[in-house]
Amino acid sequence: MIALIGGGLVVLVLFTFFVLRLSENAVRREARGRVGTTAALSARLVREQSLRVGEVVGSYASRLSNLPAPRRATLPPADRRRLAAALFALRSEVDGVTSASFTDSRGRLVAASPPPVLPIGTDLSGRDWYRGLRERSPYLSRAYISQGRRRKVTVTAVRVQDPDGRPLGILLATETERTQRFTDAFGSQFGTGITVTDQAGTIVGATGSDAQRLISLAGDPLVKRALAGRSGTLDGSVGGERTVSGYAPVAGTGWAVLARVPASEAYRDVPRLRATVLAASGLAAFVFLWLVPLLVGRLSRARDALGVQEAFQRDLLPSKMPPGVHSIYRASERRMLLGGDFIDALPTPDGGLAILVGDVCGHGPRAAALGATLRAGWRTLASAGVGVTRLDLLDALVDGERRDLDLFATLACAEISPDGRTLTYALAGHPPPLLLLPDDVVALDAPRGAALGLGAVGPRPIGTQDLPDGWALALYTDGLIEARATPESERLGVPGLMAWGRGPDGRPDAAHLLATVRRLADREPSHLDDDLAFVIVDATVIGDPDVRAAVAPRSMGRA
Amino acid sequence: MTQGQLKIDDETTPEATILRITGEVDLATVDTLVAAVEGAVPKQGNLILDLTGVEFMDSAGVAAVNRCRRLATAAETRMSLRCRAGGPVAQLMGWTGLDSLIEIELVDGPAPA
Repeated sequence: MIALIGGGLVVLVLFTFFVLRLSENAVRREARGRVGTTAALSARLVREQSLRVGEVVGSYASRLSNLPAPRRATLPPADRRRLAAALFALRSEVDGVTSASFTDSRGRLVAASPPPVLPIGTDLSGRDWYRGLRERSPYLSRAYISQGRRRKVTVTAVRVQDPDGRPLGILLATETERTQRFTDAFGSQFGTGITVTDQAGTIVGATGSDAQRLISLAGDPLVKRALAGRSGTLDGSVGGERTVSGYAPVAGTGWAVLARVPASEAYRDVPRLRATVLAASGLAAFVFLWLVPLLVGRLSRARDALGVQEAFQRDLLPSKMPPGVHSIYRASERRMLLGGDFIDALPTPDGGLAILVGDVCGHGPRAAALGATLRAGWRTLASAGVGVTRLDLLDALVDGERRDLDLFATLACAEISPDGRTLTYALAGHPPPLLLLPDDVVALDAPRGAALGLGAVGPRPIGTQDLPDGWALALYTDGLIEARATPESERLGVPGLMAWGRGPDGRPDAAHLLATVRRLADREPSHLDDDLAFVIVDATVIGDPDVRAAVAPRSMGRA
Repeated sequence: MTQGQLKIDDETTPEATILRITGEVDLATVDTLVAAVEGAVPKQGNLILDLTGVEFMDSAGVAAVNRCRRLATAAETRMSLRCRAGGPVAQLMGWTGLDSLIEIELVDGPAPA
């Protein structure tokens, strides 16, 4: 039992371990997926924002396309007014644009709104947007610190061309704080730290960080990956805290986005999951520990009970049959219960033979115990020579020994005189024995007495019969006459059994009867509704033992 | 009331309660029979167990009839059986000797289909 419990617990622990691993992995995968999605979503929002600014700036650029190419820093007053009006309108039109500027095609400052800090004519061609515009327009610049207010800014730059496609200049929209506001809003709404970097890995905006200086994350492996155009997620740690990070490039800008969540937050379902699984396993272990001893106990009790039943079953039959007495006992499998049929045969004190077949009505240990008791009681009577004449003594035995008032018993018993010429018999509520005579098969149905246990009714009447040569006597229980020769046929009944007592030639034949009953009893599955007990003796059972030995095998031997 | 292969019809007349039993009275069905008798015993008047419709009875059925007899005796109800002459119930009552302990009315009639 200890091995069983141990083995079961090991299996349970392994099972718990694997369930935990699988479900934790699933939860982690899902949480990482969430962070990755946040990064990708943020990147998309940043991209749409920049595209929108680019579009607006582009539309203003087309308004300026009929300007004469500014050769000098100073423009004719009419052109200057138009330019100033366009720059002012652009500034006021797009939220977040704090200044708008115009340079000539070589990058020298021509005009700005509000009026510029840098002098008109300043060469800005060293800025990254000047080179970047060769690749694409609009171009989103790197972050830098503005000259005047010392704010961190980015620039959306658009090439302006005249209707013939000749370069006129560059329109710049300077933005501050828009990206920072976005990361703060996103962070507070979703509990996720968002960092947006420019194409060089410098922070443009980061949740909760309003630093007006340039911080480079170019060395961060995730930023490197995102800047290389890749996206994904990774577990890591920042400042000692375990985090889950997602990274994604901002398409069309060269920028990158990082989304970062503390592991405790991302995986907050894991402890709950773990608690649930462990609680379920603990419950299973408890039930297991409680059930196994119970079941094992039940099993061993059932095994003990089976042992007791087998012992009773043995007590229902004599340990040894006298030579020449043939008996068949088959318990019904249908009832799965110990039956109460019993059999006995023994020599009488005067040298005759007494035989008995009985049936306690009912099943189970009580019936079997009463059957064993009755067999032992009758055996005592028979060994004193009163097995047939004093059945009334067994009434007292049933009354005294039964625990269940509804239990009663029937039996048939017979004595063969020492010379084998006289049969005496008595019935207590039992089906009639069959007597096979040389030319007839008769049922000994009279006289009959009441069953045992129906109340004190006194001695049972005794029947006497002269025996001719070649007689045989068969005793049986009702399980035999209630049986069906095949599952489809009628119940055998006493007439059917009498018919079995005749051989193929129609003459009474004890060997044929024994063989037929044995075939029925040996059938698998038995199809018996009730237990079956059968005893048969013939003339050879009495007399010279040598003659008996020589004759018996031929008459009723198994072969 | 149907249980397995046993059917019990309950009929009450001014003189007696009649339980008409048809089918097989064996180990599988005896509990139904005993329960029906337990229910009928306290009623006023005689109790008649009509077993003419019983096709088969085994020793468990005999035990049930005996139990019904004891129940009726304890309740001081007069119980009688009605069964077919030569039928399985009459044969068993004769073999066991219950025919001397219970009032039995034998009726002629064909075996139930």
